Amino acid sequence: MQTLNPIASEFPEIDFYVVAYNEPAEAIEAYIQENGYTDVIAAQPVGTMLADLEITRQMAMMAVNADGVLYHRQLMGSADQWSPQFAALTADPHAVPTKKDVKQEQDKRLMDLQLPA
Amino acid sequence: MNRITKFLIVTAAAGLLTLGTMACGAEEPPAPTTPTDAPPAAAATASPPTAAQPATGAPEAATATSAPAATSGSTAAPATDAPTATAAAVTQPPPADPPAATSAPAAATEAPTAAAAPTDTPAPAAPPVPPPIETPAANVGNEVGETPPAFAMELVDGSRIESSEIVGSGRPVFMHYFATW
Repeated sequence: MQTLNPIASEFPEIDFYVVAYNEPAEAIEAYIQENGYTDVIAAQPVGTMLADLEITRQMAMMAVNADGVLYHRQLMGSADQWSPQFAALTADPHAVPTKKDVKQEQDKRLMDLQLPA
Repeated sequence: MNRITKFLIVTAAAGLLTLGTMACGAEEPPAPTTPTDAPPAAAATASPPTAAQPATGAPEAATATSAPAATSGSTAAPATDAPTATAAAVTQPPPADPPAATSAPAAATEAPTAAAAPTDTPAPAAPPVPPPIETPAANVGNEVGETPPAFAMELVDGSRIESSEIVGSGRPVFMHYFATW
């Protein structure tokens, strides 16, 4: 959230949701007020959201275009590496991923699902 | 001598008569095929009754020519009071009938085809029915390019928000999931 809030202020056309799934809502709200992170929307998962979205790592990020299509997805990593994706969605909110992006994402997911040797 | 000469004269006369009759009978068949006879018939069939039929129109010829004229659609020419009819006038109508009779059916056969042609052309001119456009159903999944499955979140103020309210609402959405441990 510390790195995400400045990025969110650079792309006001995108809604940034921060979903902390192991902290109570009161703690998250106090943290946001203390640090002045007003450009992100804090939320908590409901029901089987994490399982449905296959959030299998401590940190996961996903971007959806204006039509509801998953544009980019990443497990782990940092949000400050997403500037190209945010810029693309800002330029064209209906942008769709290229075939190359789809292939790379599929390869990453296959590697991520593999059990460690 | 007189008998011989009489016999010769009689035989010669008989021979001339036979030759004359044969000659007359032989001339009749080619007459219809002569091209000079065709124009009156063609004029009678093609042109209205103002043609020169009455000039040579014997009663038989008038009736013969009026029949094809009636079949061809024109009004029948009135029979005139021609007292005498020449042999050519009598012999002309029969050859004129076959072409007129054949041309009339030809025209009659052409008419249905010409009338049927317009009925055939509108059929292909009908606008083709476009095939129904099949819109593929949205692929629901967690792969890039797919639509994420439905989910719900709870905001810090306690309100609940559904994925349908934020995903596909016309604005791109970025979701960051994390844990603090």
